[in-house]
Amino acid sequence: MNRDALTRTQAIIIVIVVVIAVIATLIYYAGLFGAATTPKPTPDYILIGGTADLTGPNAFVERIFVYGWKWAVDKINKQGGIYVREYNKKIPVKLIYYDDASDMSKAVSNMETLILKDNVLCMIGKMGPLAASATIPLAERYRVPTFGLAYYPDESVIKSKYYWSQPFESYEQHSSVLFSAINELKLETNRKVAILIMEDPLTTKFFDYYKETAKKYGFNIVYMEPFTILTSDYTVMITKMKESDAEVLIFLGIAPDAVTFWRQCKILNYRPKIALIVLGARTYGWVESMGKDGEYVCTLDFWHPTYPFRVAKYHATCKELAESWEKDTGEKWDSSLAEAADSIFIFADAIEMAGFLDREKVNEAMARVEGEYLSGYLKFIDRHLPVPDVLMQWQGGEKRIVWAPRDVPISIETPIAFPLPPWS
Amino acid sequence: MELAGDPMISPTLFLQLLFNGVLLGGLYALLGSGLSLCFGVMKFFNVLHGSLTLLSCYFTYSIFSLVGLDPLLTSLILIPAYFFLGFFLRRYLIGRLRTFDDILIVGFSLTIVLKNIVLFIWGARPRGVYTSYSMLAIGIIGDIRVPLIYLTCFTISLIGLISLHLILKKTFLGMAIRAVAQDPETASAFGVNPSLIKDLTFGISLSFIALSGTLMSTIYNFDPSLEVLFLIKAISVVVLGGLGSVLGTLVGGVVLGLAECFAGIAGAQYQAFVGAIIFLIIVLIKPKGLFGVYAE
Repeated sequence: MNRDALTRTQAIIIVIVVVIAVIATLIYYAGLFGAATTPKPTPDYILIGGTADLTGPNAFVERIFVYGWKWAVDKINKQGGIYVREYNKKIPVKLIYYDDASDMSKAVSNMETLILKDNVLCMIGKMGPLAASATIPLAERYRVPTFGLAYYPDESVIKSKYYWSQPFESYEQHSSVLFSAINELKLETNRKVAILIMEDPLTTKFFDYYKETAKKYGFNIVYMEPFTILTSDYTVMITKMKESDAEVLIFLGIAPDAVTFWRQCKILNYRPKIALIVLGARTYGWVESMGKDGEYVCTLDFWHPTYPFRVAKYHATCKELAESWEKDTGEKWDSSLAEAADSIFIFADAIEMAGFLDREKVNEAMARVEGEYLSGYLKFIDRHLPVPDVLMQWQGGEKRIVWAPRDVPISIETPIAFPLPPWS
Repeated sequence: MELAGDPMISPTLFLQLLFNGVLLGGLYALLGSGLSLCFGVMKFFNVLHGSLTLLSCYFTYSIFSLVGLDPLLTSLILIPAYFFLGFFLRRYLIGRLRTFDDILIVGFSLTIVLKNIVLFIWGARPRGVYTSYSMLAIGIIGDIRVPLIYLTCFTISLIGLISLHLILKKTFLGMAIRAVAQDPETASAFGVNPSLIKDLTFGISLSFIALSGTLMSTIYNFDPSLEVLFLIKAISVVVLGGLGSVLGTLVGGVVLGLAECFAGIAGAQYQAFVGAIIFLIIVLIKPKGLFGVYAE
């Protein structure tokens, strides 16, 4: 009897202990399960930050950048955003940018605000080597992938870990375009070249490159001189060019200088057989300032609305980008639109490849980005995105492609006008 | 850096540079005249000079682009418009400021405002006025070619400067301006209203800015950053020639123009440098400028 009662008590205790153990186990595992499956809150946006000159001396170019960024962001968001594996869904992109009026200290301060206050995932840097040198230390210090426009992969770009630059292929390619075109198109000149280059940290490097490429392609530089920005009189230089009998002219300078120079060429009746005006004749302001006298001048650029390239994933085409800009602003297209839009598309691909909204992972993924973008088929080399220049010529008030390197898969529909007709 | 070419200049090139320098100098003189008049009479430095010159370039550009009015005719609209702008600006703003520091601060603030207005309306893209005669040249003596636009601008500048000289020397207004410049209190005792004279002088000063801006727009491409260049050129001309002297302004302009053109012989990169050296030498030798009048 006693033995039975003891057994019953023991049985009750055992049952209670088991029940408690089962409940405790269930609670414990339920808790673990719950913790493991509670989804991390998905961010509303992927934040990309930028700083641009909207009111200063470079506002003309950098406003175009901002348009290109916004256009690309809009294209991405129309497709629902960027797919992020971490959240297994597409997340829209939000662009935050501040005005720096081309003041480098303000640009740096803007970028610190973007990193520390806005907590952006990545940043779009500024244009030019000076901006690159101001931006690279920030990118490195805060370990934020930054896409700048340094134009040339110098040591600071190559050695940096978080700074990526575009879109200038190389000094060699840039300085050889005209010589290659003359040779390939079999344009007959006396092969005497006159070169004027503005004094600037970026452009003065061209002196050596032009000497090398001219020699390599069989040209003879008979006159070569630097000039300061906003020179008012080119009489001496033009006279010497005439005396040197140079039939090939290369002028590298900004628009106000190019206009003054070319007007004085006409006044002094100097007409080479072919003229390449780099930078100064790049925009449509050239034909506005020069009228018919600006016709048939060649210039270099790396993008044109007729380029066949597209970003299929986001239904973005070159033609559409140019048309959108012209419709919204009433101004003619500019190649800066494509480089700006591409920088956003490249970031989008890097984020998607990384799969996480993590700066380190996105930065690692940038090196693996490769594909067709608006500027062509792009792939980073030494943290730099080379985009080759093509030769364009002003014809009928439009900038038309007249020659491209063989590795640029575009069709040339307009023959080059050669030699330059006499002054109108 | 030059690789070839005769280091000696030919007589043709010398004469060409001489013509270019003198013609360019005339335009520079006109650019400096407004600043000289303002400082000579009111004893304050108009920091708005560059911005207002640039604004005149943009007005000329817009009128030319929209209506097709010749830039030189545009000056007939801009000169009176700028005169009234100057008159009222002096009367209702600058004239009410007590110290030169206040004038400088307000001037710099207005410069920023004007720059942003330019950026807002015209953007930062370089603009230019291209007329049928922009690139024409007249052949004189052998191969020497004189740009028609330079010659036209020089002639207009000369007419403007001679008119200013005649106004200052031959009219009652000019006498009153000179009297106020020398001693406002004594001038007041003789029935001259110094405040009104200063309003009128500032108006005239701005009229010259309007004219120089219109002419500049026909020769150079311009963008919002050029205001600084205009101001520097104007200061150089005024300091070289001497404050308050029309003849001095003309000489200052021509010296600067010749210096820039002939400096090209040494190399294009020395143009600005040579201009600055001449500026420094004259300032060291004659601190009041070559023909300073009111600086006493």
